[in-house]
Amino acid sequence: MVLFEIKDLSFAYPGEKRKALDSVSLSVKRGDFLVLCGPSGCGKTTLLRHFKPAVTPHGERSGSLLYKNTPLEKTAERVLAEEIGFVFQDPDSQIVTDKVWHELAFSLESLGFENSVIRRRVAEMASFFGITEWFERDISTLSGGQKQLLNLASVMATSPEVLVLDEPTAQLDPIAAADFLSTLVRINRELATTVILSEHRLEEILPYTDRMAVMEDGRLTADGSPQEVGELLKSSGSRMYEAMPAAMRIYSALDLGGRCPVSVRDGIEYLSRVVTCGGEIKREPFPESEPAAELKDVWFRYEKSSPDILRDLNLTVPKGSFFAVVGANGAGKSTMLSLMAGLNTPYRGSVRLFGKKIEKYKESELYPKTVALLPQNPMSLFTANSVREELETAAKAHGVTAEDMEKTARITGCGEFLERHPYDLSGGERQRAALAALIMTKPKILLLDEPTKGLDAAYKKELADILKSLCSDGATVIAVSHDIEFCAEYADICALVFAGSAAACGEAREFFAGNSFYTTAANRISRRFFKNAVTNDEVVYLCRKQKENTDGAR
Amino acid sequence: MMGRAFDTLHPWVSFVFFAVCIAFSMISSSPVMLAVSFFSALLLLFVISGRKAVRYLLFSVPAVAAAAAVNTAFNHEGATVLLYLNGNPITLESVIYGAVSGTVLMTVIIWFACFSRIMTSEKIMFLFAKVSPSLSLLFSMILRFVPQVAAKARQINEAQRLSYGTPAGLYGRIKRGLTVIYALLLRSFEDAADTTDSMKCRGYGLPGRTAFSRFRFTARDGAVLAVMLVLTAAAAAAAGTGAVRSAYFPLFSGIKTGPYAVITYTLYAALLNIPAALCVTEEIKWSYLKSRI
Repeated sequence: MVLFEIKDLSFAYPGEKRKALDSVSLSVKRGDFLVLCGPSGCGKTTLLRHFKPAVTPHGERSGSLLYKNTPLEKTAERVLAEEIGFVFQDPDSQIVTDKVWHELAFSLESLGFENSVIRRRVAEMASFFGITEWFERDISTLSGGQKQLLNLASVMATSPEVLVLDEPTAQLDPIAAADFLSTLVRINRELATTVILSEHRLEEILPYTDRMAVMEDGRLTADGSPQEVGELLKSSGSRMYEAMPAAMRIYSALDLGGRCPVSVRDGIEYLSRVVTCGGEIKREPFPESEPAAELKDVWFRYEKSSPDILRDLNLTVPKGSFFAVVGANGAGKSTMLSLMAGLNTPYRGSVRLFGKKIEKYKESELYPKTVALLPQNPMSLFTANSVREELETAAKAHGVTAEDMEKTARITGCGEFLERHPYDLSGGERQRAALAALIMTKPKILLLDEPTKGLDAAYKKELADILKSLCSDGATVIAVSHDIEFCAEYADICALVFAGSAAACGEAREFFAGNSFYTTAANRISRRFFKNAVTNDEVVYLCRKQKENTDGAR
Repeated sequence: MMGRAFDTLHPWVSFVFFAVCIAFSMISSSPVMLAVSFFSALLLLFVISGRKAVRYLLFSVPAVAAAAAVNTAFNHEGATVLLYLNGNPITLESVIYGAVSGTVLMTVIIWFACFSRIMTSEKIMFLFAKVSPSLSLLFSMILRFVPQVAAKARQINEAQRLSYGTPAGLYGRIKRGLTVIYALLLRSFEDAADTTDSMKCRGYGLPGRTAFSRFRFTARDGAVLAVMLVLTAAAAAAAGTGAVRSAYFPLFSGIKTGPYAVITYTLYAALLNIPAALCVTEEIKWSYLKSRI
């Protein structure tokens, strides 16, 4: 049965010529699991919001949108509230009440259900989603992953026909994201709830879906099975191809035919058919240089009676390196950054920047010429009414010339949106503007907290280029991140923080090649065949080399 | 926690209890009834939160003494002059009246300490919901909002400090404060727009909204409420005979000990100690059950 039938839907925001949606046609059947992907600003969110009239934006619209064969706008509000569930990106701001149990009951209260019915549904949801243990808790005590799971559960309380989710895992760490996505798959398989999901983490979700659609510039450019879409993207040279799972990219780069693998398991199977064991990547070690930041035997806790967050942490960050710190949630990564920024002081051990203890620095020496910190939410930095005003304030305060400011804006790609209000920018644009404000003063050490959170593959690459050019100018970049693929691809040195101390540290690619679980998909696919191959390009390179050798021998 | 037996009562029953306690404590003029109320409140607090109650007791002594001193200094009524200070009479009646007022204040404070531990936000919300479901939701949203805003303010403040250092001077600090507040408002508005969307998506605004609660009025609640109401009525009737009415000026009427007065005191003590009795009974039952294992 067809649930949604979209025909020639076009849409433009008021006062804008550019169409946010350009004659989109799409049909969704009951029980479908549709993954919608595309670069930031391609119109994914606009399209998803059309599935739910309560949040559909205002503007110029043409075309038709049928839900169960009736136009969506003619469907009763009560039916819409009950049958179409919507989950937003930010886990925090979509929660309404202060208690977990109350949040679960919210939709049912709105629909006017009896107390006994609500009690039963809430109990069912809590059991299905495994949230009975924190059922009584205050929302403010939950982690981001728990919050998003709660949002899913509270939308599911009305047993909707369709779930529409707008990048629900963008703000989550990889473990929480995988947990969330597997719950979503379970809902689809066990309850036959239709799922329409926009997502950047294709590696995790594509193996479980049979249908994906790609949007670019407001148009639907591909719609089909992951394999079909992969072929199409490759042949059209689309930049969305960068976002596809490692197995698919290795497969199509090698171009040896056969069935296209999607998951890591299928990738290994595929490689075992086309290559034999043997082959190794050799790398130049990172050049020796004096330390920029040094943490020695650092112990830290927030309050005297609270547990230690950092316990005996030792790290040395060489000058001019792009240093990545990975590790699970709550391992102390962000706390470590706050120590390096001088926001907190360890109760034992020392933090040194360029050989000098951080507490010996005067505040005016430290900020912003020596260290700058990009917080997890870049919005914390903005206080002005336009990006230009923001940058000018910072430039004036720190004696940066107008030319230098313009140059920074150009490097970071802020030029197009200098006049806009920071709150009107997309996630990637906000990041760029924040980065411009920070690097304008040329800090010697740039600290980044989860810089790739919610960014698409294309922008991640741009970000890496900016960071790399800072490093080659002599700055040191220290990033705390969950994004293994990003760290493996671009970082020089990588450290794993576990339970408050550094469990491992080494040259980034060596480091990931040495891990067996905490590593890239390309490494997991290739580790049985090659030594040290961490990125897709390396795997492809080794495969090709082997082919050439065997072809040459013949 | 020993207070479980009281905590698990229906919110309305607990609410009625506290309302009666606090009302009686404020209205009654009898020093004996006041003492009964003071010590019952302290006992209940001890049952609910253990040794913290001792702190309230220790704090009460200077508070009552201070109230007596202040009253004596400004109130010169009363017939029994103890001494003259700077030509002003210091009277026994005004010392007693001051001490009694101080005790009333402390008694009410201790009752409220019990109230805040038993009447959780969930229970208060439930009481509100009967009056207005949207008011109760608003209450819940505010409780969610406050820690969120505090966290955002901290983040913004840290980011500002890192970019521009700690402001120097009063003017600098005021300017920084305003900057942070402005950014905080912007961010809160932004997030509030998301919350509104989420509420609309989940059917907020449809007619006939209900308020879910996890409380059920049980037979036990009925029994406790009945005992409470009967004791309240009886105590009020006994007090209504005027047997316990006390006067402080011009002469302190002393402690009433007539038969009706004794009946009033007993009924009043029984009423105020219902929750403590429930808790202690349950505790004894537990030890008994444990001893049989």
